[in-house]
Amino acid sequence: MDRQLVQRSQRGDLEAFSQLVEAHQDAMYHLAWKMLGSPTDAADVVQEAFLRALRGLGEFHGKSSFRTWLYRITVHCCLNHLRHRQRRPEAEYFDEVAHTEAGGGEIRLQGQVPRPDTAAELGDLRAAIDAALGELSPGHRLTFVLREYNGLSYKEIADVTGVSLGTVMSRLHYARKRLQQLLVEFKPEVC
Amino acid sequence: MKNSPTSPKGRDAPASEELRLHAYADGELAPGEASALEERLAADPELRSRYEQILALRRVVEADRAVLPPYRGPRPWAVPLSGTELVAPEWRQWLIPFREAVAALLSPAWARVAAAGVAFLAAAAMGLRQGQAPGIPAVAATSAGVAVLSVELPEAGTGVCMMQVPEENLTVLWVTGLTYPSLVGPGPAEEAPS
Repeated sequence: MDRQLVQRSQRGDLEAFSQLVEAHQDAMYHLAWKMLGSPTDAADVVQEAFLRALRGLGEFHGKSSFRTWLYRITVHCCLNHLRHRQRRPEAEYFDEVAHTEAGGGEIRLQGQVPRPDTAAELGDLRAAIDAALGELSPGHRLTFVLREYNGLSYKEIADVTGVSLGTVMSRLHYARKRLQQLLVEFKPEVC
Repeated sequence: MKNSPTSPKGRDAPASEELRLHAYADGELAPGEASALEERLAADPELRSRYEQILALRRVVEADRAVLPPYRGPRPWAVPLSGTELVAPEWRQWLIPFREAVAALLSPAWARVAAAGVAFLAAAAMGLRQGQAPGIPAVAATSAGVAVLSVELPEAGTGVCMMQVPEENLTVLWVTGLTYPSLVGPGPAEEAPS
């Protein structure tokens, strides 16, 4: 189905492009959210990714699936966003995120990165997971999120990220080990 | 890994047995290898414990993944080429009087000129707010009557203005990435994190 919609989109049919996006927008949004730890930033990045896809449709020749291509664009936008974020003081950034995502001040982690243990004390599983993911390197985080949140196979992850299957497996192993340590307080609750 | 078993390389690579355990948990192990591993899991409590840890983490993540809200952000790509409808009501309310006024005042021949003027004024306004010289750094694409104007602003990121310029009408489709409410109007409400 994607192929026909892509062909129509390449002829300028924005309705076809809209249908393509409808089919993939939630997956891209969840990927961006877990990569960036912020639904607000994720919405911005997804917008940017889809606009890039719209502008780049003419250069898409179908060597990979449209889905894989869209994942690559979204990953590229996420990594760009992270690079820009690094230019800002980290404490300032997370202070702002915690304030925004707590509805304007319910949970404000002043001047510090929300460590998983702090978030766990607040009883917020999502905050703890997002913070724990933030402890991973972008490469490990990306591999884990593509696998566990987006359900991609090892081969698909390798295609999207441009690394070997062995690297995918190794990163996944490391990411899980680290997350098991960081999220240990939540296991009894969920198991 | 089902079709091409892979062994990690490098001195720091984890043991291949550990990787096989993860691949098994992910359903990526070839059937023969999976059967062999299942026998070992039944006989080795320590290995079984490590496998259970992988599954426990997955349950934690699944509890989060299952309730992630769908994307509710702006959808600038979901604009019909007719330009008569916009997806976000807030934007529609803001744009309709603007579009009608322009359509009433301008002849079709002036539509393209007006589009360029609006784009330039938007860029100029943003540049002046930033104390920069006004300018239009990039017109990223024009196709199917849609122009995408990209403006780089110091400390404000990239703004994108999409405009449609058909023969008989002029429509600003979307302005995004900007921090100038007076210029772009209110955006759609964000999905509140749960």
